Amino acid sequence: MPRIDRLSIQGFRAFGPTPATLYFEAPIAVIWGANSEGKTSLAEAVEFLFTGDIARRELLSSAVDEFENALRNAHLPTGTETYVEAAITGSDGMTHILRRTLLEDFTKRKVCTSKLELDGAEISASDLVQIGLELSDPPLAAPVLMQHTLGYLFSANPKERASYFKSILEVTDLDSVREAVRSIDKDIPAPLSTLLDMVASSKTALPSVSATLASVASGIPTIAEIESAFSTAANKLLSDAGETPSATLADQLSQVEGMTAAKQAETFPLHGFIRKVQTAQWTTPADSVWAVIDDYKAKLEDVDRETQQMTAFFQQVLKLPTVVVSTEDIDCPVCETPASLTQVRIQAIRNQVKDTESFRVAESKARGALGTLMTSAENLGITARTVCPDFFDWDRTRRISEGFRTDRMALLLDEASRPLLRPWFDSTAHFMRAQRHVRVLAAKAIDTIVGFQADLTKLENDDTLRAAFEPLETAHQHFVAAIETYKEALEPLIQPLKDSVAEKSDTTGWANLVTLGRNASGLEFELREAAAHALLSFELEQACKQVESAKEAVLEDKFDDLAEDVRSWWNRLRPEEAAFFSGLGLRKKAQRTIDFKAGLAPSRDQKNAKLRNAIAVFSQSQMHCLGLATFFARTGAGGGFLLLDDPIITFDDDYSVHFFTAVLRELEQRNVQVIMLTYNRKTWTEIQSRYDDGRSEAFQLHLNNPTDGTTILKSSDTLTAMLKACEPFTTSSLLEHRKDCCQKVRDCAERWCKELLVQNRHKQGDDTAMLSDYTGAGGSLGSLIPLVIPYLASDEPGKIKAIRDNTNPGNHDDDVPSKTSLKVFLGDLKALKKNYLR
Amino acid sequence: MSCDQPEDTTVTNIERLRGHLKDGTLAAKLVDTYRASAPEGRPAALKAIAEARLAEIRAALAREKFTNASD
Repeated sequence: MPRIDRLSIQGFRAFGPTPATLYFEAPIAVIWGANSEGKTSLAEAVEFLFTGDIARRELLSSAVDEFENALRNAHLPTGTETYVEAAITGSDGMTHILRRTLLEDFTKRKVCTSKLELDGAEISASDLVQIGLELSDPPLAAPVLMQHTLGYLFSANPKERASYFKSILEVTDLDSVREAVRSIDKDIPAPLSTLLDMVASSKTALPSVSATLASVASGIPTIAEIESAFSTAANKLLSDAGETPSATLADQLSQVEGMTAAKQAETFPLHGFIRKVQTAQWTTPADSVWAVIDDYKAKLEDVDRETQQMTAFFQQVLKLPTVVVSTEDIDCPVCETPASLTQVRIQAIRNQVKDTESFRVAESKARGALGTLMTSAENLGITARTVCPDFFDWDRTRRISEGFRTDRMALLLDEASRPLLRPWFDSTAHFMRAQRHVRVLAAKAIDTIVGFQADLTKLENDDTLRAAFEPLETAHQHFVAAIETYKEALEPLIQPLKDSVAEKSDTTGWANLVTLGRNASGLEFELREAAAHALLSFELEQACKQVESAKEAVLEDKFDDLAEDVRSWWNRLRPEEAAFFSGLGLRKKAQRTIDFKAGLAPSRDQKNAKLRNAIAVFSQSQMHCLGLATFFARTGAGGGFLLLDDPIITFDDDYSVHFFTAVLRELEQRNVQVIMLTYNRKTWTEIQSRYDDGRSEAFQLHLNNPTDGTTILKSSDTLTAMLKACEPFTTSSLLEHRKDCCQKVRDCAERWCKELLVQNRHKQGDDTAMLSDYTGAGGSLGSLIPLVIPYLASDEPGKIKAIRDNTNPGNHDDDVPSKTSLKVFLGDLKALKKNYLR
Repeated sequence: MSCDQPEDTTVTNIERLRGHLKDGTLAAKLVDTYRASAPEGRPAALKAIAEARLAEIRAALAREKFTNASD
């Protein structure tokens, strides 16, 4: 987790025109400053760095204009920047430079503006998360605790308290789990419900059988049960119409269908729209057909007509035994001319016969090819007829007698559908023309083929045949396009027309009933699918509810954990007290409203405690403890850093001991970097003493000149700071100042002795040695000098003894050392420190 | 700084959530799948679980139909 390695402040509140810098090396940094030396300025500088604001403005101001020009040092020269910069080791392990520059201070009406940069690039506060810094919600966004923010923690109303813990209690990431589960149902394709929709509409359209249809749609009946229900419904319709129902469902449905058609035909002949075939499937003859014809034409050229006629005769001659066995010239078996049938001639006859036989095969195939062409042309003609609506075949007389007229259609259609008639009419005309063209071409092709079939040898010139077929493919394509245009024009028109016809003929729902009755298995499938999907939806909804309940349970768990955490910090601060922090209370129906509960026990064992609202019963000191415990629970969970501005100022010594020991130790163990500001010098030294060996480091803030601003002195070893504090007094001419200086020098000498003794005991392996081992009478300079002398070089004891003898009793005016003497004592002590302390 | 650790907290929250769901339930299966899937693959993975459950329900209904028919 991130920690601050360096902090530089320039021009911010008490800080002057040159940057004041602190380098943090130890886990605990304790910074001492007297009143009005810049402690709060430093704390708020850190707030400003991370948030661009200071919580004090929101928590304490009663009017916006109170903070006018509050951030920029009032004495800062014009043009000098006001900024806070930190070197931060991020959660990525890298060092990042974070800098916020004040652009415009608060005015009477406006809040301040600033620029935040991370490694030189401008960012927003929310981008800090990329180096592991995540701010809390305002007003205590930064992990900085000051007296006024401490008060906020326990005095804020319960809802604001809840906001402070928002990110700890946050479970919004679980909302995405719930939403992911909730959205599954939408991703599952809905089951097919064509038939179920028909059942639903039929229930409305056919009130006399709606109860029967309702029984079909409830649960998952068997196919037999469905068929039985539709038989009942069909019987009811037929009986009501005065018909005698047939015995079987199939017959009953046919009766209903016939009755529907008859009744509807009286209104409008919808059957005129029936197309027996839906697609005009036809393919142009394959190239192989034309190849057969080409082959025939080639053979035709090879064999002359007379030879063709003699072929049968030659075949008989070649079968004669004398010819079959002949090896030499023989007499002609027909005209008996001697030796006229030479072997050469026999071979010539054999060749002629062979050519002629090949020709016959080609001729047969050519006849087949013509047959194929004929079939193709006929199919096109048939398709052109069957793919069209029946009314195409009706002549004018029949159309009039059937009532298939556009004016009647117009009367049946409502206002909205009526404009659809024109496009349908135009597409119909186009469709008819295309059909007529195809049929004419097909007939012409058929006639041409018939001519070639009558005399195959005409194929010697097949141009007319090819010419007859050539336009068919294009005509077919146009025809198919015309059908599509017609379908598109009819589609929006036909259902309103059917509905109107059904309504006018009082047959609404009858056609659906027939369709459903004939598809009981399909309906059973849809019912089963619907039931399966409904059950899945129910289970997913249940899963959603379970996730939601679990999410609330997680929130309660986290609440309990938070309460436990606050309690653990409380117990570190105020262990074993009869009045104690007991827990956090959730208000019913307002889960994010937090009450602090105090336990009031009759004894320090905290047993049999009565619970009260902490705000009502805790003392101010206890409230401060509660604020601290709350702050640590929020920010001290593990890692990171926090800044505390005099967190124990109002505490009794008893509680400060707990803070120094249990609390700081716990934070140290949790690897939390602590930067602590204090007014109390005892606190400052105590922490250094308790957390020595590099576990803590000390700084001092001084504001000697408001124009120069607060300066920072790193004085991890207290002795250096003490010696530094003596310096101004050594040059004073005032007697009282030199008296004070005597005491300070003597304190420095005692401190030097103690540190030397502890240092040497540590060297000897006594790890328990502490400065506090030398207190009371044993801590006086007179008692300490004999103990340190064994460690000193021969000329050194005199120096420390001189200090002992001359700085005590220093109260008497006539014995007060001179300025020079005090300077010598101070110089000796600095030398002793340098020579003997590491 | 603040000591929140968003990613860890997320994991913890979902782990806690799972702890409150009964093993073998559809909710538990879906949460397990959610945790095991990369964000971009979650919708498909969750849908697959639901479709598997739908198949189980279909099979159960078919068995029921067969049983009824036998009766």
